[in-house]
Amino acid sequence: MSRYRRMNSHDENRHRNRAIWIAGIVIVLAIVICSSSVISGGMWIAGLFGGNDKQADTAAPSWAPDSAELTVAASPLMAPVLQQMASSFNSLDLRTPDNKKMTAWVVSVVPEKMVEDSLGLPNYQAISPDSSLWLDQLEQEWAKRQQSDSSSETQIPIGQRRISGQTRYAVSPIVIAAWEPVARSLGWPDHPIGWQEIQDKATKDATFKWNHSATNNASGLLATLAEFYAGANLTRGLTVDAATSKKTLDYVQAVESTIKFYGEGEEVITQHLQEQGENFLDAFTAQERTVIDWNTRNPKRPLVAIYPSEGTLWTDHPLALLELGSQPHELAVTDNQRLTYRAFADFLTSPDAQKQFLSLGFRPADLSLQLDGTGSPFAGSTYVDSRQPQTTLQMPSPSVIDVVRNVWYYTKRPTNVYLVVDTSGSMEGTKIARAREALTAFVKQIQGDRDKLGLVEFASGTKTFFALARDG
Amino acid sequence: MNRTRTIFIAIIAIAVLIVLVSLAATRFGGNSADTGLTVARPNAVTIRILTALPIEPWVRSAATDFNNGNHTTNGVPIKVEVVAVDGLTALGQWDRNEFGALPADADPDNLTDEQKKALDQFPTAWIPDSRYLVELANASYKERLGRDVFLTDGEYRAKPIAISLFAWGIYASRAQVLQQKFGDINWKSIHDSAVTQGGWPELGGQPGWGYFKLVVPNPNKNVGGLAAMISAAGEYYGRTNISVEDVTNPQFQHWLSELMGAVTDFSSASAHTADDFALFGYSVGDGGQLLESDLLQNMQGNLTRWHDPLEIYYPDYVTWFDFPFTVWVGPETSAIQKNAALEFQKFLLGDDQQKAALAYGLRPASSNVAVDATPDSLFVKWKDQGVQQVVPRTTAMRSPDRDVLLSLLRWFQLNVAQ
Repeated sequence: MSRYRRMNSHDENRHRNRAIWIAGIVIVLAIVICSSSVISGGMWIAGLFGGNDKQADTAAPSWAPDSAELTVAASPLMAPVLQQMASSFNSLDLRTPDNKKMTAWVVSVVPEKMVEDSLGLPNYQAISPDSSLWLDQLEQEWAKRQQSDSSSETQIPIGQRRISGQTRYAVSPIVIAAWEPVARSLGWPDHPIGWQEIQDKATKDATFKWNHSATNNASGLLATLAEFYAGANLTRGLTVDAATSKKTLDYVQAVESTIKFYGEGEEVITQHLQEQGENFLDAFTAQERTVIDWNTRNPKRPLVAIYPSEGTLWTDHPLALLELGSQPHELAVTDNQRLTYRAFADFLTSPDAQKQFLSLGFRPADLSLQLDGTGSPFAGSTYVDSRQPQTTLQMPSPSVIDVVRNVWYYTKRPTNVYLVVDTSGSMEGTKIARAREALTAFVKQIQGDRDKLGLVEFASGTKTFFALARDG
Repeated sequence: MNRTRTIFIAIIAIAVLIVLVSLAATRFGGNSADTGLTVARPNAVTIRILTALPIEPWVRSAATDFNNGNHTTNGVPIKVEVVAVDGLTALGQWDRNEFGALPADADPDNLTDEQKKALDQFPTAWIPDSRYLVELANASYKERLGRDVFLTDGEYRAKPIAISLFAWGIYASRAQVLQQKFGDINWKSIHDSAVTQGGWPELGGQPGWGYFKLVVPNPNKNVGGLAAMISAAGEYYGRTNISVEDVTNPQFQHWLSELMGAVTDFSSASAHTADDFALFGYSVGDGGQLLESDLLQNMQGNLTRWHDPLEIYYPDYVTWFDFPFTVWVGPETSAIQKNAALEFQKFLLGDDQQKAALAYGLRPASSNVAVDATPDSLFVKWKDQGVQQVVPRTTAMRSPDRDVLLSLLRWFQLNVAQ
């Protein structure tokens, strides 16, 4: 019995020791886990408000070194089409040499935003804006940044590129889309109609409702460029001086004031047309493809594609691979992503995909496909003409394009703005920091020397007063 | 020690000495094309060929045939990878050493794994548009490394693999009007058309055609843009050798500005100017001086899409491209890669591939093959559009030197691209 008790006592000790050990381990683990949580939570909070480098680290997009997933940013009009194409591509289950599945994802991004993103840390590896002019804007800006690193004047100043592997898969000219009765009243199809006729009509006839989209996409940019050309009385050789002369700006301002529905893309405009019909607009600028698509879905209420007699511009939908990896915190495009890019580009230019683009109203890059062949939406249509356009407006230099893109700034009235800032005790800490950030962002948007800024700082009373002055 | 033993030891000593001397020569020999990364005998050798854009479709097709043909070097199977890059862009990349050539004092046998991995992508050979681009790259490396990196003589010398030249390609409807107005089509008549304020109606064409639109490749993307400017300078001065003084002459620059003012859009132009020309048709360009092979490859596309054929005219001052196949001789690539590149070079120069080049509008480098040697030769197909089988070389433009090239590029950047 005593032996049994001793044994029991021995077991109890052993069990107690084991329990103590287990409890110790649990406590240590708990402390470690809690400490980690506290530290990482603290760092997260600190990062949220501190804006330190660690936050930049976590904000930078990342992907595995052997990733074969390619994300493509496409213009809003093309994105739904490319998403369908990507779905078909993904279903092919193509593999890289190391057996990774090649996958393409498409996200919708406005072209101007694509340029901004691509100069920073984009979370995509390829872009497909509506026009190559955005690629040129990106390259120009990228080259400016790289030139500061370039030391030798004797080096060939070519080849520093943010993009590579450019491919075109479909194009479409920009046209003035008008209801058939409106087009006929303007003289279609017997007489050529130009930007000038539309602009004259808009400024003289208050009942005429027309629209172009914002200058952050190609059709809006071209329509606005056409206004500058007409205002300067030129069809080529538009300079910054000519574009910003008072006569030109007055003309552009007068035309812009006739715009009925400003700031949206053509996909939104067609949605409104669907809902409101002829009451919504008489005419608007759009890709030829939009007219074909509308007429396919609404054969009884057709739109006419007017190819402006002074010339137009093409949307050429390039697909370009970004050359990432040269900036801090930026990952390079992986070898597998390059293979996916190549495979996706080949897929888009394959005969089947090219026929699909044609059926959707685009002009395919494959020149062996006849636009007026059997089954083509161009064949037999009186509302679009595959032999047009006959001529294009001259694309001016990037500095003139900058003026056109900022038309709102150049044609609006000069503005006086007072910033009134509360710097009392209640604003201490993150509030004042955030207020400072917001004000800085606002001031950065005040460009040039036409607008004036003033500042009033107050707490219980006025602390500081800066009178109106130009942003310096 | 008996005599036999002495002789035996002497023979052994001589053999050891020969081996040591050979090793020393290999180690310190410097410029031999056979130097390179010392690698164990691989199961297969991959070579990367930087290829100029105009010949890339043909070379890529040839590479597919070559890769399927079980070609070997010293018993090792060869795989060819074609990398398309414009000649001037590649020159810029060589210039800035973007491919990562080793410094002159680097020991190729003692590289870290990371350094070796970085050299995996190093080009084994380069096929630029023209020989002068090789000379400019060599000049750049001579300054940096003290030696040529592409040999111009011996077994590894640059060999042209195809030939093409710059010719006028103009839509037939527009060409007829220009010929009626000016007679010949040349840089002078093109300049006169470009500066006509009234555009096509004033030249005798239709009002809908707008103003005269010239097609010139963007020199930032396509070496053909530079070739066009040099060709224009040749005709302006009436000679084939152009100097820095010529291209910096204010009167010439004014004349060139007027010409470039007739180009519709440099910003959206891709590296494939002739493809753009066909895709966008007469709406962006009535005509321009482009590479004959590019024009011929796009003749059918022009006709299908725009129903207005291109016509070809040959200029008085001709710029030729000879597409030299040039093997990198530095230690960044192995001897087996260099030999593999030579095998591919021989394959391209074989009669079969030289004949295949005719379907891409390229003139064969081999004298064994005539331009009309095959039924699918584009020189046969488009004979009626003005393609000449023999073009006199008496007025060939001479290659520009580095200073002329830089002067023209800077002028373009400051006066046209900005």
